[in-house]
Parts: sequence; structure tokens; C-alpha cells
Amino acid sequence: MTSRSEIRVPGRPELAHAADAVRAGDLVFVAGILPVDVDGDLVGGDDTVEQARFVLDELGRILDTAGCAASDVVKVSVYLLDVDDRPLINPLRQAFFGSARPASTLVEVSGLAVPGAKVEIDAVAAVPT
Amino acid sequence: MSRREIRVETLAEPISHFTDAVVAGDFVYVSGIVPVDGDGQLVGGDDVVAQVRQVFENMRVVLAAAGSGFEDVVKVTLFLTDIDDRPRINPVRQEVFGATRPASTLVEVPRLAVDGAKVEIECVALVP
Repeated sequence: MTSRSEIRVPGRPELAHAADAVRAGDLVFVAGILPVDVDGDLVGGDDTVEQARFVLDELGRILDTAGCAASDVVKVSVYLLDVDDRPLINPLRQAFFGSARPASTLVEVSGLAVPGAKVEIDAVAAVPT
Repeated sequence: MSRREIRVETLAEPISHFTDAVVAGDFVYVSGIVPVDGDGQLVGGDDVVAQVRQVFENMRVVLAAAGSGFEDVVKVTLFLTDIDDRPRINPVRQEVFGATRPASTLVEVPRLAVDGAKVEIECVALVP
């Protein structure tokens, strides 16, 4: 039987009935990350790059807690309020993932769960053996 | 768990810092596929059926490169810019998957990353 464990990271907001990530066997499913601080307040103002920088930093913290690195990410999903922001965050993705390239889907959405948020990212990672 | 990146050289270069698919253990995660040719040019014009055929053709190539196929698909997620296109693409899905029925989610999105694209599809499959 595949094991299941929930991962909570200190300093993360409680926005919904969800964990920061769930490990199932050797896969880690990271919940969608919004640019909000521990109090649920928006980070990065209306600057998509600053918002994405924070989101990727948080992704890094969650992966670290789960025993993974950025290079272990298998799939990433990026949800943007404005798909034209895609080129703006590409450099951040390159910096975060380095030489690793995950599978990826990026789409525009009409709304995110926190007002002012312009980007949300979730991910699946493989725990290294 | 093992992790292996799949990049199919005959398909268009990914438009950002990602690859066509990643194999993790017995699963392959396929990136969202848009209806473009090997040069990244839109295929199918404004015909969603022709577009979805191109998407599935690209997906077939990616799955094959990972040692997988449509009969191994566990979950598929479809993003449409017009939800009313759903009935039009159903026959193509039946044709492609045949007797296989994957788990599926289909939603409408305002825009996709490639101008003119009306459909994007990602999937997770087993590598037998």
C-alpha cells in the first residue's frame, strides 16, 4: 500500500481546508501557491514578477520540507490572470529550476482565490532516492 | 524515485523553461500541448477539431517517446477557450482513446499561451 502523509510548512497561511503538500509514495503533490503571507495578505502588490518570486520561494520551502529540491519537480502548473505576463516570469522559472526542466502547463484564468493575486503555481515532485 | 526528462526534437521548442514530459517512476507527466507544428506555428486555423487532432498527434509522439500510449493514460485535462466546443471534440477523443477511458477534467479558460490556440491538453499516463 502506498503511504500518504500531509506536509505543513511553518509560516504558510491557512487559506482553505488543505495541506501545503501531500506525499503519496515517492510523489509529492504541492497545493496551489498564492502570493500571500502567513496572515493571508497579498505579497508583491500588483507586480507579477514580485508575486511569482514569492510563490517560487514558497514552493522551494515546501519542497525542502518534503525532502525535495527544485530539480526533483516533475510537473508544474502555472495559472496567470493575464497570459501576457508569461514572458515576465520566464527568467524566474529558469533561475528556480536551473538545468532541470519539468513538464509544464500554463493557462490564463479569470480569477484566483485571493483578490490582487495574478499568479498561482502548483507542482508534482518525485522524492529522490 | 527515478526522474527522466523527455524532449522530442521533432516537436517545437518549449516556449518556456520546461520540457515535453517527465517520467517519474511508473508515471509520465505530459506538459500541456497546444496545436502547433514542429516550428511552433499554429495548426488548424480557427477550426477547433483540426486543432485538437494536432494536439493529440503531438501527444501521441510524446507518449511514445516515454514508452507509453493513449491506452496507458490515467488522467487528461483539457483547457478550452470556448466551452461550447466540447461536443465538437468528443468524437476525436473517442477515436484517439478507443476502448480506453481516462479520468478527465475539462474547463474553459480565457486565453492560452499561444495566440489562436483554442485547446490545450495535458495528461498523466502509466509507463507499462
